[in-house]
Amino acid sequence: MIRLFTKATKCVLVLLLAANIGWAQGKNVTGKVTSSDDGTGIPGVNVLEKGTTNGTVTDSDGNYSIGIQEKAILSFSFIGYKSQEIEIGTKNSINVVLESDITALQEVVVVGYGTQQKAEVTGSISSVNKKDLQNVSVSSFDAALQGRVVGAQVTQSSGIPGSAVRLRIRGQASISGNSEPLYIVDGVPITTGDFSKRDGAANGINGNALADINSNDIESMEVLKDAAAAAIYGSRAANGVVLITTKRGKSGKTIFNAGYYAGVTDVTRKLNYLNSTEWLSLFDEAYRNSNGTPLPSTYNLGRGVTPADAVAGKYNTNWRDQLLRSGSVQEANLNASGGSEKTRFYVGGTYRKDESYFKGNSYEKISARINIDHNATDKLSIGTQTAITGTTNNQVPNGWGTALSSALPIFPIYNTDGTFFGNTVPQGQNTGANPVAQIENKFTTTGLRLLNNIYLNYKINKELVFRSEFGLDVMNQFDEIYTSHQNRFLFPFDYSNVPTGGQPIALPRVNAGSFDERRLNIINWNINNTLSYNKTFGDHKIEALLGFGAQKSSQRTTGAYTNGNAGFRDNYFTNSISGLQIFDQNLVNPYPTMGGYNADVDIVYSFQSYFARANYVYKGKYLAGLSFRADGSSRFGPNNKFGYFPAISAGWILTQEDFIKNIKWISFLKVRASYGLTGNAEIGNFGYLATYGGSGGYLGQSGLAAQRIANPDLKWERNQQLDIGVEFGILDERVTGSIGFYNKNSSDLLFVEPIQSSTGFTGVLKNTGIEIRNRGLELNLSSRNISTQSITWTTDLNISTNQNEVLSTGGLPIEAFASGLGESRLIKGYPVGQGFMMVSAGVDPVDGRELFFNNDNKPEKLTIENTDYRRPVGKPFPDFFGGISNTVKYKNFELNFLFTFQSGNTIFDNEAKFQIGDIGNNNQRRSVLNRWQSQENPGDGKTPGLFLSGPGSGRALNSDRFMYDASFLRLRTVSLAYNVPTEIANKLKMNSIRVFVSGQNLLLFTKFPGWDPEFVNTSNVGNTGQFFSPFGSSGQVSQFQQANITFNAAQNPFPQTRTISAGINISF
Amino acid sequence: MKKYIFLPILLLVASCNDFLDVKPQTQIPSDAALSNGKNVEATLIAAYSDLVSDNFLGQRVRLYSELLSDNIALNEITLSSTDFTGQVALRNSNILNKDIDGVWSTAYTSIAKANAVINAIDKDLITDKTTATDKAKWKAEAQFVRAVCHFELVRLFGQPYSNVPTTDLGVPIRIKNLSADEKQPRATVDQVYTQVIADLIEASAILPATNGNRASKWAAKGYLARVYFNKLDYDKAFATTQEILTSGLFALSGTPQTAFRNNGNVNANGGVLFQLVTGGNSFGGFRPASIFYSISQGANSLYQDLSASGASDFRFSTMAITTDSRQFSTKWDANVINPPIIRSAEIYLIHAESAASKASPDLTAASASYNSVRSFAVSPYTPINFATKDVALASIQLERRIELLFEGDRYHELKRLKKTSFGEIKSGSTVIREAKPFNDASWLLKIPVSETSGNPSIVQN
Repeated sequence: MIRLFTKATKCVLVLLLAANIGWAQGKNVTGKVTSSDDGTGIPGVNVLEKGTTNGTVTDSDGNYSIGIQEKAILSFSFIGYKSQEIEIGTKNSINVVLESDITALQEVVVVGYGTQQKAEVTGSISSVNKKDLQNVSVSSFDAALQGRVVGAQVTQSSGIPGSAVRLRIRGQASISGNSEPLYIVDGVPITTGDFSKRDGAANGINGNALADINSNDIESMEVLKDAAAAAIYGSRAANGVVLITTKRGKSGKTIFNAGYYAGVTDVTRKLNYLNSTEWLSLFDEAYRNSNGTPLPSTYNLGRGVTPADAVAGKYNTNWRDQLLRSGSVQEANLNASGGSEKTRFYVGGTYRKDESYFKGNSYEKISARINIDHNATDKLSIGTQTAITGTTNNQVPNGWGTALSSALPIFPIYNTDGTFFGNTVPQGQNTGANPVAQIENKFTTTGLRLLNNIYLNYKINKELVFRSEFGLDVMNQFDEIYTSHQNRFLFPFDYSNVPTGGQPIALPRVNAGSFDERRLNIINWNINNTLSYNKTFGDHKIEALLGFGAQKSSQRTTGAYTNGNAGFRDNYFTNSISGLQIFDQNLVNPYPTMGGYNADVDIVYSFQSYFARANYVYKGKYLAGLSFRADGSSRFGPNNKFGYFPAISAGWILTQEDFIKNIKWISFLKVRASYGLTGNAEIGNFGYLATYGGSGGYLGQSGLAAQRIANPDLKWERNQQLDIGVEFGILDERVTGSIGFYNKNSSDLLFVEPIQSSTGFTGVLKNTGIEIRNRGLELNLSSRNISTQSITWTTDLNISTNQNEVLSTGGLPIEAFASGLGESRLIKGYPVGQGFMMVSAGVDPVDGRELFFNNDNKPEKLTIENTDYRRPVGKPFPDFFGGISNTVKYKNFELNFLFTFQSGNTIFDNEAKFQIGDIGNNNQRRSVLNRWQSQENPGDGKTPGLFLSGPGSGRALNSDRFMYDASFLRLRTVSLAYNVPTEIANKLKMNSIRVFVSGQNLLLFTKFPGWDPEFVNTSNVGNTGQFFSPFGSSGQVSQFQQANITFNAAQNPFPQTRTISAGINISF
Repeated sequence: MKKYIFLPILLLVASCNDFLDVKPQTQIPSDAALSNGKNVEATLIAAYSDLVSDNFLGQRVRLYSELLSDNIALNEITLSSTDFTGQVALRNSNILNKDIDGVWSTAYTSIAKANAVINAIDKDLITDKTTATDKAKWKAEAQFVRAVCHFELVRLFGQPYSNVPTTDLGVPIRIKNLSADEKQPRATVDQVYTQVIADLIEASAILPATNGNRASKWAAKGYLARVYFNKLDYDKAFATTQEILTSGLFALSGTPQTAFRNNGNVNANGGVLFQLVTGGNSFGGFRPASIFYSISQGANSLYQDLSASGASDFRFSTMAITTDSRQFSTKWDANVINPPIIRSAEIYLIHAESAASKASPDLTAASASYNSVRSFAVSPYTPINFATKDVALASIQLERRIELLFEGDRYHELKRLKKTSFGEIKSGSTVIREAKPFNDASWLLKIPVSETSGNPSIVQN
């Protein structure tokens, strides 16, 4: 909402005087009154000749005609808009644009199962409206929350379109549970997460089911942060709740909006690597350092390439650039809304295509929505919000990591015969290290998503309303993974003539492509019945709500894949069974061409809930709230089938008190506080149940084994949150804002508590004694710096701090929290995901090997990590983060830019330990040029010499050497728009025309030496809930656990996308 | 009309009583799982599956027992100290070594499944018409699996029996079906051996003489002989091997390579008491083409031992080849091998050495068994009669080294025989692994973190 501050009041007196001394001479003035929100005509506006009773109202299109005296002043007023007074002068036609004037007092926000006047809200809620989503080129709306919601750390996991977004509202409180918020679209808790096949040939990157929602359909988003706001969602509210409300029609003339933009995309940041001459020279150095002799010209540098082959840059492949391109994005959007008194509608459609900067990767989305509200009678209204979205995601091919590591610059792309390098016997008969060859593989995910909600609203009497909603979220997804015959080799045997006691004869190698197809279906339905009561009498205002809800979600996957000895000989028949061929001849045990799987049938859960809320306002200034929810879930053990989540809150609007009312510069002041319980039920399915399931087979028989140790006490994670806030407006609402403090203690945290693996199990899933505290301060400021008729400048700033601390590890040893890359752990007194590794002590100037501090703080040379020397290093979370956005309007121009920032956190660049030093196997970053070379030439003292054997050969040991400061300031979005003057637009039969250019991620300021300081290593958000493999050696941890602990270990991430686009929005 | 609209909604509220009672479809609640014979046998199969996996007998148990011996020329390998196998080979592993964790966890997973089978049969949980014979056989097989797992673990994670078995720590003994966390300390080496022997004796009494590729009576007896032999109980090792050999079932046939070219069933080629069916070759690293684990170069003791009889020894003339100036064995050079775990050549050699070492040495029997193995490989061959025990032991131990090379025997032999110093590895002139006495703690694999996390009082090696 943009408010225009006019200095009209000052002029009024002067003008009134002028009017009085003027003389009466009649004339007729006509014109149209439109809304600044959408340029549509406003019916029913009062048009009054100042100082008289002469007046009229606008018609249904906003037109008016009035006979007035010469030089009169006309006043235009309408509820919800700022009144305007205009001196008519000699003009006969006056068009007026009214600015909406919803003050903090009148503004309504969406809350759980209803709405509430913003001023009376006693919880902590941040709102983001459709204007903030405008002109922002992101494939998923959640990415647009970055820098706009105080207290929410939003990280786009990569620049790949449709990739996951990590949202942490008021810090992270889970270890093994999901830490993402609950998303609710028009009352329906929707399916979120990544559902693409991840265990197949393609590594891809994490997808995001939220990208199915069309951001053009969104009217507003409310982020519920504290217990008072969120506890109505009980066991699923611990990580906050994001309420999404889609656009609705208004009765009146049908308005059409059309928009289109197109742009180019590129990587924001490129890291430079050695070229082949440099690489060879450094390899030679490493060889000499290790063997004392020069590199023999016949030495196999890798894949049969010798120095003689590679000499003088014969091949010099920049693999990084081979995979990157200049991408493009375009989006077209058309919607219409309107209706009669009885029926209102909104229909909209969007097409978006994003060809990313990565070769072979694109994301396409087509979406349609229809929202209808109908008043059947005075008491009964019904309606629906329904959207359907189709997506095609050509996922990222394999090869990015390889291009930055084991694809050496001395390797060519093609052999002289045109085949891919890697193909021949000396090259290893494997094109895995040839990223260009990997582009031949395809991994396409197509999705079809239905999001639907129907409701019935019945006003039983003036105070009492019954509402029933039924929501359906259906997700269908189809993964097709093809490995090209260029990249897949079979080594078949002739079993038809095996000599006794001998071996079958090897047949010539064949190239054979393969496929793997998988269909996924998730049906998630939801029902809510509520009874709400609203009554105002005397000084009392009561709002009460009583409700019942139920939800069930079930997921199923089926699929088929090519078996190991079968495939396609060419790339033309990749998906028909008839093209399949078995290559082993007369195999002893007949082996089918295809295998199948049928999984995920146990990913099913249900919730059953009862909830109530009461808000009370006394004299418009004393506020109190109570809410309660009882949640039962199939996920909870039999001893804890239901959880109970109360919250209490209070507020005081001081500006309603006389002693504040008189302080002119304070226009609004409220203090509020809340305390309550919320839970996290994202704990997986059937975790409480001891079961037997399929296990390894032998001798043609299938096996069965115990899967879990029972835990009938299993339940939700528990959060106790205190929230205190002050909301204010000063200088006639010229500066508004809020300051908040919260303290959130999380206990009963879910974890697979390790037990001796000699039991045959690795652990028991339990609500452990692990405790985590998040507490922080939030500051939100909006300021109208300049506000004149022709120029306005507003600034919105939000800064959050969050201190995350492990209060207790529940008696578990540090190693129990090992979760993959980066040596991140849970340590008492430190944040979750604390880096725990050795500290580098520099380089031994004599022999160039790296030194590490031992426990006596003496440097020591090591060939392997000494686990006893590890210490907490780095900071997983920033000291503060936020965003600052500015909007400058000058006449018809509008400039908008948003900077986002975070400061103080570190990233463990896991790949740097290979790409700075392990020259035997990897291409090297240019920073390796600062290495130790000799006693006389010791380099920067931090980067060791290069070796092929002994300490320091192979990858570098995990240490703080690769723990980098990841603070950054980023120009996230900038847009410049021109609103074509209404007169011209009207002449073109349009209500408004707006043209714009916009940019995403144009600037980045950071000291981080890796790829991009904004990334998430493991951002699986809310996926399968299959928790752990309790039997066996793999020691698997849940995806959630990786996402919660090792998120800041970089593994060749895809950098963010820079987009420059231009477009037009018209309304007619 | 309006009133009717509420009806279905109210109904839904009312019918929600068992709404939260969702049951999994691909898993069976534990209390019902082992009530039928099919499921109990499937659990046994899963136990075998772990036993034969590459994490355990399929590869690592045997591989580590070679890497830690004096059989392999590691200077031929560019071993990175940060790869898990390299860590084991260089005695430089830490508690986070995932491969070692694989050995440990896989074996104990197998044990847990075996315990579940034994528990189901002992407690008579099976309610269907499964025959008593089947039940007894499954239980005996489970005991076999449990014994083998404990035995191979105690050899890799504990000191040899030849050291101080009553105080040296072995591994935790797990013989109960688990329903909740139960802490268990490391038992002594002697306690583990006692448990293993008890299981194998019971199993061998019940198991049938033939049982496909699953454990048979003779598989259990063969393992029992190996256990006694490692326990230095030569009288019992002699008696057990005597019983196996007099059965006449396991004559050596074909060539010394025949047992390693079998991709069919056990007994098909004679001389194999127990084998794994892997459908591939988990010892591909030893193949000449792979140039990974060579027999070591000419100067090395294994090569010298192997070449001692020259061209007349099949194992040298045919089964040792030179590629790129490195010497390799062709023992594991095939695409599909069902690796023999206990074969009769080992039984003969145990028999021979036990005959010479037992309380009342029997050099005639020692000579006869030695001659059986030797004459099978060497042609022409003149039988030998050992004149003294010392000559007998030296000859038999030499023969054992070359007959069982790359089968995971050598490391345990060096320890059984209490070598005062072995295992030096050089890279050029740099020593990358020092020689150490047989009971040096650095030989032992570290107890993995998956074990100690659940019970920090576990004593680390």
